[in-house]
Amino acid sequence: MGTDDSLEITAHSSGISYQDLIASDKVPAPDVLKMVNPIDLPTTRVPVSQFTTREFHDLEMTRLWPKVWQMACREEEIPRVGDHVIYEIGKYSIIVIRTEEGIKAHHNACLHRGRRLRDRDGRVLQFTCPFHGFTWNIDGSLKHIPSRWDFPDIKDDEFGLPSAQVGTWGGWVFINMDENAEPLTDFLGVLPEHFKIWQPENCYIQAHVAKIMATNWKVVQEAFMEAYHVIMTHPQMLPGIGDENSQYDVWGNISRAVTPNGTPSPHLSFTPDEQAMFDAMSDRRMDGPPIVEIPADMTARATSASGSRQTASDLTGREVSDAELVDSIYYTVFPNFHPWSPFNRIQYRFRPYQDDHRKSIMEVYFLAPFKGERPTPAKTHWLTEEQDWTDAEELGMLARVFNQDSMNLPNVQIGLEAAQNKEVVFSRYQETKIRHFHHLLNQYVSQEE
Amino acid sequence: MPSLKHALTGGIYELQPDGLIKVTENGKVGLFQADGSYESGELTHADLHLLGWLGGKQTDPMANRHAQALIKNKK
Ligand code: FES
Ligand SMILES: [Fe+2]
Repeated sequence: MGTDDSLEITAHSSGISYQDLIASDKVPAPDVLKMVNPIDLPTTRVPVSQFTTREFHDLEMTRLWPKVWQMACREEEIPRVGDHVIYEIGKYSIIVIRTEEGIKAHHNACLHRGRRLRDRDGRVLQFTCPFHGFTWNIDGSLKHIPSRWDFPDIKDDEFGLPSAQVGTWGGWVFINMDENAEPLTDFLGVLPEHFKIWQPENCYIQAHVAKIMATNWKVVQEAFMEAYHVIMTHPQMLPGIGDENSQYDVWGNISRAVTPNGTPSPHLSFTPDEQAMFDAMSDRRMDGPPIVEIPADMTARATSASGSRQTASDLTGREVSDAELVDSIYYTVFPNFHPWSPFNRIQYRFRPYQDDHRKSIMEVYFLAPFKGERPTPAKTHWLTEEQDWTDAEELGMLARVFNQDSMNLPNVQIGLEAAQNKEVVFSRYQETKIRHFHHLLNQYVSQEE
Repeated sequence: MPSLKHALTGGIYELQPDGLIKVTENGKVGLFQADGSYESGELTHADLHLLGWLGGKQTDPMANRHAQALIKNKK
């Protein structure tokens, strides 16, 4: 049996469509959530070796990471001249620093004998190599060489630090190691327009948790790009989540999913009432009282939205819609950055851990709107491989949800390593975002340097 | 003790004082650990993820987006 080409891409769950659902919301959804752009991509099967082999990791290290725009940090993390973070991706290390002339990025390796110039984030007004003292200005130009006479063949103006391109959007700083790469704005395409009402630049890092995972970075990332896994991995949510009737869209390098809450899973064999939906959303136990009793004329959606609307509206100066307050709205910027709409607060980044294809770093930011003076951004809270997500109290209930996801992840890696089948298979619609990711990844890795 | 009903199987999951989870499904009963391991009883398999949800480490019940409604609706 092959694939059934007669299948319409519109083939979807029997549940209410996301568009029909938001059409009856009390406070209507913004235009951006009324857009629908499904895509039918050829990439439904991906070789297992892409998740398990050193060879494929090396391909990513030569053909993807040095060529693609990637989120390096937030502007708020480097507010003053000299403030810098070290962005590491595999074997690459980049210093992202604020200078008088804006944010710059330099490869973090001394041009003398190669020592990493900076081994921690911080603030410096020049880079002095701790080995012999070669020194560069923060704009990357050479400043000083001890015993200058002893390096007669070095020309000052040819001895600047190799740089990477820098671009910013929404308060995020992106870098690209490829001098010839298209501008960031071209790469991002529709993203700034979609996020216009959400103004991520006017949000701050309320929490930032990073955890080392014993799993290839793509395996981890792909667990956060669909709601298809809710049926098995997050069963407690089912009465209150429209997992199977999520909407998936693609625009250029951007993909998006919207998973509604306050509507029952189409997988259920019974129809929960509004109270039962809300109980699942708020994790009520059978033996305990409901967090809220839903009034007869209210829905679970409207109740959840009304709970946070006042604060959200005060912060944004507009009446924030039910959909924004209740649903999960999760974008992906290829290859590894996942901005959500700000009332979800979540933002993810996934990348290889050091140069190890079987380990990765998963980062969760809570990006929150604020009023008045910009609050100090939260520092990165690192969790080890052994710790679990509840060790990051700042994540609240989400930590328990991640613990459920984390029960799968190392087992996916172990299973992939043991697999006798040569390919994994992705669903046509619900795994749209993953298919789109692999479609783009294939384009990068098949490009000769 | 905290308990939950599995929305797909109808199984009842009840946390016991010793930290084990008692699962009653289709007239059979079994005891399990939060990591999914079977301890005893006629029912030998239960949902790993719901066991973890109920028996694993807990967080502040109000630190949840939808629980915000409490603040507004209990006024
Ligand atoms: S059902 Fe998806 S990995 Fe097994
Ligand atoms: Fe999940």
